[in-house]
Amino acid sequence: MRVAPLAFLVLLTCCKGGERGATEPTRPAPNDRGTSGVELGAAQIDRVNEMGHPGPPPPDDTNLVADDLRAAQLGHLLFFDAGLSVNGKISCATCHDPARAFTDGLALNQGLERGRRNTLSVLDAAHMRWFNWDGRFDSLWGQSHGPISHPREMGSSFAQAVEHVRATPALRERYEQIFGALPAAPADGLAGETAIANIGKSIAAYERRLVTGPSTFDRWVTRWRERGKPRDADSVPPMDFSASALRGLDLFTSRGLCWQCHVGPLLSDGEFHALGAAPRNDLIADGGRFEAVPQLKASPFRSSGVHSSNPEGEQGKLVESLVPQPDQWGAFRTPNLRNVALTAPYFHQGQFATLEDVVTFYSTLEGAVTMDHHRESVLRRRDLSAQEISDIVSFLRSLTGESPPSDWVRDPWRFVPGESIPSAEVVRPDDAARAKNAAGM
Amino acid sequence: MPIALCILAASLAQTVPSSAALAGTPAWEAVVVESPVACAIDPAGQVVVADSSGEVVSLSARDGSVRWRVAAVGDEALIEPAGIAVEAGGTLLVSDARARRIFRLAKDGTRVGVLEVQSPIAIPGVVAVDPSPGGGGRIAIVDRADGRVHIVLPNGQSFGRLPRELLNVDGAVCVPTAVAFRPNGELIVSAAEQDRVFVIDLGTGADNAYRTASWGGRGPFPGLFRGVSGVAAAGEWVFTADTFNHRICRQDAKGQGRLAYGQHAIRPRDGNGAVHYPRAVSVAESVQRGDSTGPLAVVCEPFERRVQAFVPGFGSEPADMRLELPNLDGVQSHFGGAAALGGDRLALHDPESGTVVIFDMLGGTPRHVSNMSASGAKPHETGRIDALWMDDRGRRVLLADGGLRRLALWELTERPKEIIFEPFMAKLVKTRPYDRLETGPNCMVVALARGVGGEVLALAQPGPHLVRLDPSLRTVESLPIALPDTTAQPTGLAVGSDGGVAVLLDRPAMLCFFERTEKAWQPRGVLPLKELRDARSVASLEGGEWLVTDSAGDQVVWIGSGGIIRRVGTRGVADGQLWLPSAAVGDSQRRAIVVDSGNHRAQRFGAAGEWEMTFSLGRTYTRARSADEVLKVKRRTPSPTSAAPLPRGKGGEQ
Amino acid sequence: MNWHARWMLPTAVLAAAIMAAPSAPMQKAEEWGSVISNDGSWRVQWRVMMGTKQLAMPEVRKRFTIELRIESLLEPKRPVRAVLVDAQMPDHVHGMNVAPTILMLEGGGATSEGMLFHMSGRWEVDVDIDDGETIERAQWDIGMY
Repeated sequence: MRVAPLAFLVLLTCCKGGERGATEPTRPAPNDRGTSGVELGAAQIDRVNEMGHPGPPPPDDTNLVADDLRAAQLGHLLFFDAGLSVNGKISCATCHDPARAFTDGLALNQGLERGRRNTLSVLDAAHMRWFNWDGRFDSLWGQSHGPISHPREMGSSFAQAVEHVRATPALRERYEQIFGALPAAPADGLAGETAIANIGKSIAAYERRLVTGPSTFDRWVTRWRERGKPRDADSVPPMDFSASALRGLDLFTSRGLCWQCHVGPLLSDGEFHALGAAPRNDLIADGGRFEAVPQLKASPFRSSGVHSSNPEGEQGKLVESLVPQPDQWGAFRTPNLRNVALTAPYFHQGQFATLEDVVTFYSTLEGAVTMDHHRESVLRRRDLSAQEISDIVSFLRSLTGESPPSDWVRDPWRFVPGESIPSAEVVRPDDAARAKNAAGM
Repeated sequence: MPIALCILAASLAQTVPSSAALAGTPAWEAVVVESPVACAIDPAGQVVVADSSGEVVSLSARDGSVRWRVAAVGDEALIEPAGIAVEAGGTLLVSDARARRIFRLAKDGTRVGVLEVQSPIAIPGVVAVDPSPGGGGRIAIVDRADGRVHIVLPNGQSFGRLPRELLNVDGAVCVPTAVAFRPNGELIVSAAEQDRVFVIDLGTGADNAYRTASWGGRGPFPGLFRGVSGVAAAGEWVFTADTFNHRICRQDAKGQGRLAYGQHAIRPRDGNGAVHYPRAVSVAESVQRGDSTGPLAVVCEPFERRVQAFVPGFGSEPADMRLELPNLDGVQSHFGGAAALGGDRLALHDPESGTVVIFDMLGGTPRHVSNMSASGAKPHETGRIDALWMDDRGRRVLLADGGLRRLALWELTERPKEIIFEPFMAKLVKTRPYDRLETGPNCMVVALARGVGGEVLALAQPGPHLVRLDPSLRTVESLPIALPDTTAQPTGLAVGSDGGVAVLLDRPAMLCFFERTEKAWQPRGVLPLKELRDARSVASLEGGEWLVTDSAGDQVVWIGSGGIIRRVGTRGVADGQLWLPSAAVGDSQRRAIVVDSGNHRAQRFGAAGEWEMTFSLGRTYTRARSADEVLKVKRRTPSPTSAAPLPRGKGGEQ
Repeated sequence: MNWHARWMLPTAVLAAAIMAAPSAPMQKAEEWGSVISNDGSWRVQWRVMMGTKQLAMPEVRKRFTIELRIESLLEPKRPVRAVLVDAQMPDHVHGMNVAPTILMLEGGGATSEGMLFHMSGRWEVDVDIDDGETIERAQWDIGMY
């Protein structure tokens, strides 16, 4: 299977589809020639060393079919199947559009109605521990089924989704090969839940295939390691890792303090923080993690629940020991920064249009909302210069990885003989609809 | 370097513009009532208020004008009205916590009688009447003595006591603060210390009552509370007076909803729809207001000495409702009713955040050098701080936590060479639950003092007992003391230079002196302080003098052997004036440092009573300011940068 | 790959040098850390375990167990009636997001299972020891940088 640079793939599909992509515009950084002058400190060396490519996703013992090829193939079909929605026009790929790095380029997700959160990319999601901005799900399969029945997203029901699978030979045959017979109609109660869990597990098996390859930064880290992890960053052949990006890396892992949350191979600690980013004008404030914990603990689709393949495993034990903390009100998950240049706009309600806006926010904290005037602990301003902001952005752009294998990225229904193409019914927002989304309508 | 440190929040923050849905529409101008702690609405057009200073006040529902006031029920004086409710026929029930009675009044305030309750209620608090057709007018009464909710019929016959288990969260029993009935007869109970609200179906008897909903937890965000003191119900909604979050919350009977009214008065004396420490709320869906009828909500704010009213909404939350927390200019001081001085260190506390703040007074200028603890239930957190103690070197601080019912001992590091803010100056040493003081059930420590030799002296109710503790909080001895037979409650404790002890009673105010003999504390005399309206704290001064705060009188007095020798303070906000001062300590130069709680600050007066300075966190004034200057507020304006919140109509679109 | 393991030890030394509050001496594997409680009544020895393996320090975002040995330093000796174990990040004013399970052991020890440090930085471990009269705290810092 050939892998293509992801950015190129996006450009190709964007041109083909006539839609604008959500890719960051390239702005040349000043003084981007020559050496960076970066000397890494001891702590930085350790941090950089942790930031290399993560490799394949960790195993998921809560999903017995997580790495099953047949399940992934079934999940691939389901992901692109608009028939799972109540109106037959919305699939997972509507919001998680391969042409847009598996997001939608909108501030707020747009299913049946405009939603309340920004769409997260599915790329490399299999590495995370918590899913959605608030961690309302603790497994990829637990999250995958969620939008199917969400009234603002696909608006269907468990029973309807199961009936759709039953009525679609390409799905039914594959489902029954893996999981056995579908439950009798109407598929409600525990039997319906089990079927939905299986559908979610199949989609998750597919999503686990959506991992990106090494980025410019990853290749630089490899070379850097091969040279013994020198302090003098300029002693490593830069190739396409610019001096500006190197300076950005330096800031990211030191004075910029980004590393405190954006740590490790995914540049995310996977945990929840309240930054005080102002909610969008037209939305009530979002309780984030605090409200999600009780929902997660009550969900039958959690890792310690009846549908988990290993309810007593580490993730299951972790979920059972979670306690909602008031200081987690308004806290959202640190996003994975891989491919971040492709997933504008940013933050949980798409409040920031560009990476420059994001880094500027961290630097100045202009617009930050006091979450609680009794608490004196807030972010500290970085007071970065324009050059420093530009350098950090350059570094972030260097995190764009190689596309997942194209077979997994394409719409599979175009290749299923004899089937009508349910994905052809998918209606994606046109420019007018995007404008309305942005205007809060 | 860490992400988050203790810094000035507002220097980084910006006000989010408010929405009309949050403010509520004021129904009438705020009405001055000395200490409104409970209220009720008679749909026929009357609002009645229990004033804990000793009155019941009736206001017109139309415009808030005073219709009548009574300070007595027949020939029985009201002492501390604590609860009020309206019965179906328009009669009023008024509970008096100190008279230990529940009076029945006619709608014009004249005496009807006393509710003789079959099962005695020791200290009646908030009362509520069941309006439902099948409820028979049953009455819920909070007994402050044992923390139980009693249900009685209108003739006083017992319907039962609410089982403690119904107010149980994660194994901990919540202590009821207020009660109200929903129109369908379900009982709502709030527990201020545990920040929970419960909805109870009483069934056919309190013994088979069951809980239909419970929500809450401590925090500033919707669905959480900080000191949920009052509850009310109207239509399908439950309203709560969320005291330290400064708002009236509206939720459905399952706790869903984010709407808040009156949030948030920032400055002392802010009003016009903003509320400040609301203590009680009453709501009615249809009230006669002159020629028309309509909804009305009434809020009691004893901190502001006022009652406000607004028109609440009964529909769904607006789709575009915004949520905000107010921006404040600089770190805010809210000082509560306790203070302690040890060496050159002063400990005050902030009841809103549950933190104890430490000032270094070396050189005479108070400098805020540390904070410790926070609101919560963990060992290093606090519920409600009632008293503070410091050792004579300013190294150890003891908190009497009435919310979590324990003593908590902290240790501070030595003063560094340079006096700077050190967030980690304090560490928790140990705690001791009140129940282990072995003074009897329901023990509550109401005051602390530093004894001879640096030991801890704790005044524990009921009893009361004087408990002597060593520096490791182990009991040296615990002995009862005999107070005069009066309705006054002990509020303060101080130790004189001769080792004798002074216990302060609040109203009628008096100082009771004791000396230590071989096996007991012997009374040595009583000094009446009739001029004081509500004595809240006592501190000893050099030379045998005492410093007493009179909270309701807005003054601090120096007392010698013959009585009051000096007073400072009049009611107001200017420097030198006081508003509900809650504590005072004297330093080695016999100056008084006064916790001017109602003005969110502390003030220092010289030994002769002259004003010297006003200080809070981060600010000290040595030039006296007028009321206008004090109330002037700086607000930050948002600066138009690309990182500012996106204005409506523009999005994150490419 | 355990991407914490390689930088744990040198970073722990660095963390010990820069931490604001006094911390327990950094423990080596197969040794127990030791602190005296804040009023001098107890000696608390501790070690970090993940399964049956002792670690020099916990791994961020991975559940671990703290094992404790508690010895009374007073005369007469005080009994250990109960133990609470918790952790917080003083710099960030928050604690753990999970509630560990405490098991008392014979002889005054305890284990706290299911601890989880969800982010890097300075963590303060708090052990509150109840002797039936007072509850005294022992604490130490773990710097995870």
